[in-house]
Amino acid sequence: MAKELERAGIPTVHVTNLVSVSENTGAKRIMSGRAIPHVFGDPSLDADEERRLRRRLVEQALDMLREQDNAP
Amino acid sequence: MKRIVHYVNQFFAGLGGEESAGLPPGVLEGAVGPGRLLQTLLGEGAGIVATVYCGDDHFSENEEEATARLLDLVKEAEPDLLFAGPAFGSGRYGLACAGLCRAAGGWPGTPAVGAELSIPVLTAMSPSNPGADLIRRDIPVVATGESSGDMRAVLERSAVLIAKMLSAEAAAPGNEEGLDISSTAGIARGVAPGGEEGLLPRGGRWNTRVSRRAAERAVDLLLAKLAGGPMETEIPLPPFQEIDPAPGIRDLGHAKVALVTTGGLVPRGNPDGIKSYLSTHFGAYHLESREQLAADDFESVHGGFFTAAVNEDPNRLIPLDVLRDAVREGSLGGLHEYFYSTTGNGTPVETAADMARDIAASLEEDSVDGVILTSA
Amino acid sequence: MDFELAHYPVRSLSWGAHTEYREGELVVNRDALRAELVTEPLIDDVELSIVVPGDRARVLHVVDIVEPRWKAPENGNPFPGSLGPLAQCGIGRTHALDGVAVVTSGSLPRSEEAIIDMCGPGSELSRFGQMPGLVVLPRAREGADPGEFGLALMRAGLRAAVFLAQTTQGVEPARTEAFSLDLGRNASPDLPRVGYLSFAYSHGIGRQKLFYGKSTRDIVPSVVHPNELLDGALVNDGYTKPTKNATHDILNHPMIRELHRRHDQDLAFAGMVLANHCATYDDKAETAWHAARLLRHVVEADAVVITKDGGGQADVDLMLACRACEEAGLRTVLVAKEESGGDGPALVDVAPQADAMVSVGNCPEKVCLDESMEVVIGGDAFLGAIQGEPAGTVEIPVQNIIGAIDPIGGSTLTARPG
Repeated sequence: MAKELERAGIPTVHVTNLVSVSENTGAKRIMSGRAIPHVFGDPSLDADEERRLRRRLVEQALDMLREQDNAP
Repeated sequence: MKRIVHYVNQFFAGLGGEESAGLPPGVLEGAVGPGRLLQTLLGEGAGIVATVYCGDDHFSENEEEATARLLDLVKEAEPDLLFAGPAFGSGRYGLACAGLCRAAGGWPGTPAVGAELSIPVLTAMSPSNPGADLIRRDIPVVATGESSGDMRAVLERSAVLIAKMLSAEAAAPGNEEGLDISSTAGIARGVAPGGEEGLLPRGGRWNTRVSRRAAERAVDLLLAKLAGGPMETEIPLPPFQEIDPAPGIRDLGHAKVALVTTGGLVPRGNPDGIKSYLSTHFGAYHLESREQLAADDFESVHGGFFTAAVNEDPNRLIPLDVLRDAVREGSLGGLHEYFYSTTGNGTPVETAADMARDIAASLEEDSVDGVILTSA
Repeated sequence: MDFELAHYPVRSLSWGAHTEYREGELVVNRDALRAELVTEPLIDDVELSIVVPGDRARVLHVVDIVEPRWKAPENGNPFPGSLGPLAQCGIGRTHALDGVAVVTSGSLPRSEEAIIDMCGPGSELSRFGQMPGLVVLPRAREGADPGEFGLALMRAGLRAAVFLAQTTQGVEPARTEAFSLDLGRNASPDLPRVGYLSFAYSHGIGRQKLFYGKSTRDIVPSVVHPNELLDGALVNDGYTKPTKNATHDILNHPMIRELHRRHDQDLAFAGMVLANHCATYDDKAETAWHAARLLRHVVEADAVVITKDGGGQADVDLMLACRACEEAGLRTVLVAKEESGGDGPALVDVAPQADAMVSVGNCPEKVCLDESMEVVIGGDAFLGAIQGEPAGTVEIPVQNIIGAIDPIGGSTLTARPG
């Protein structure tokens, strides 16, 4: 799915915990999420900490969409 | 003698061409048209006791009603097997054969769920007939050409298969190469698709017994791979197609980003019926003025991971809350007003690619600059 | 390591006054066996039945299947750690009753259905439908913790297996089979050194295999001697898995036996690594790396067969291990069960390096079992989504017929495009 969106000309960051699975499908911008069942969060943190973590992860994802992208 | 009912359209019933395509369902005694040749090929063990027919237009315009009526006519003849067609490349005729067969039965040994009669059924049409795609998974279809030129050859193959399907003395299952296990239980053991009998492949992958155990095959394959000679994997690699990455976003402060997930997040109640497994479609859900995705409003219907954490806080899958913050603070230009969701487990790569192309089309319409795609 | 199996073929199984094995006839005193099994504190009572091929009988809720084994006390015990005290497996002589199964059955939380049919198409698909079985159906003591009862049920199966096989004490075996394996490099210098990487289901009670009685959940990849698995070191506690390998399968491990058989013929069996399916991706990646490290530098293999023990997430382990091994210079073959529910892919994940795979069958494909049964043991309804009368015709995913799909390569089933 990430590959097709990227092929259509829309930079797409795939946030997943199964990085190798995404690599094997040919995705170009892959970011490792926090955990398989909650890529953008962590139930073990308190609400404020979790939101700060999520913000950091989102900034990281947005950064991978930028022009000086991390794509190979 | 085994009893066979044959289904044909108005033309092969001898009741006229296009001008008669509106004919409602009816029944004729014994074999008619191509059924006469089929009867000769079948010999004495099986007899065509009735020929049911329907006009092609009538069927396509009144499918439900026509199917029910035809099914009644089939039942009245108390058949052991239903044969429909051959429809060759004719789309309307093929769809009628498909619809009636599905209502009447399925693959021998795996009675079609929901079939009303559950008798063995067989039809014949070309691989490109729209009816073939509809039923090849569930019903045996003899492959034909596009026109009735090969009628005789098709009926010869059909007669062989019908005899097999009706035979109580079918081959006993064992370890012979290529035995189809779904038929070990069946009325017609040994009737397998894609083989020399000329049935259309069902699509997908199916269980088969071979002569050697997997352990032995694995070691042989490994030694062949080490030797560098020819080797045959049993699960072919999917095509790995490299693509060029799209150009990145220059200025995030003026960029619009969309959210897509394969984690199955949907409004509670799953209004679009997104399947938890083998999903074939996606939902588009308006973000409205939401500041975040509330657990009261959204849930994940994904069947392949522990969804508890996401159901407790859907922002853990689609981080709307912090993206709203980013937009407010100016580090991100904006968000596309919909998020898109499906489930990713078991979905064929091609189906996923189709969904992605559909999503890409609506994103381009709204000049979206980038996507955050999340998966479990 | 020199290991010897003394074989005692069983041609008939019946109840009788004395428990004894004589010239292929196994006779069991039902009361004595029951008395032996209720020594397990969480087991209140046990229902015992015998099923033989051709019976119109179906066993439901199968938890495990065990081959009867016995070992002279001075050599240790047949299931060290899992039933008896720790002792080395895979050396000395062990007695095996061939062609008979101890089948445990029970309703345990989160169980996936597993059935044995003694006649009809279900029996044709599994070797367990083709050998006599002694079915052990224990009842839990009131208030017993379900997980702990599951372990007690597992031990009851092992205990019954030992009880049956000790009848061979002092009896001359029909034949003996030697498993001598010197894993040193000098054995056969011209032959390719083939290793085996075996993943084990490993997610806690009822979802795991036990290695010398210890849960495999938290193990790191370990070099083990293949003979240890043939001699009771690895035991199944995996009733929550749809496609199970029973302890009976492991004791007769088809992949290890195949590599043994061909050792010094067309390959040198270099040894094996036992690894687990971890719960997180990072742990999976680490496990793959360690497995490749051991196979390359400790086992010193040139090539490796890899089997998995689960679906979905297990595919990720399989592919990570494939990639890690190939990158370490080891050629790989992967053995995989498929989960293609429709036109979908056979596996959740496929690495570009996975160019040599063997399929042990497509798990969700349904089989119609159209033989009606006179006896149903173990329950009065199928577990899970399987619809139908337990004594009647049922359409059932092939994976729920235990033994039909064998993740470690013992069956002749495969999947093909069709």
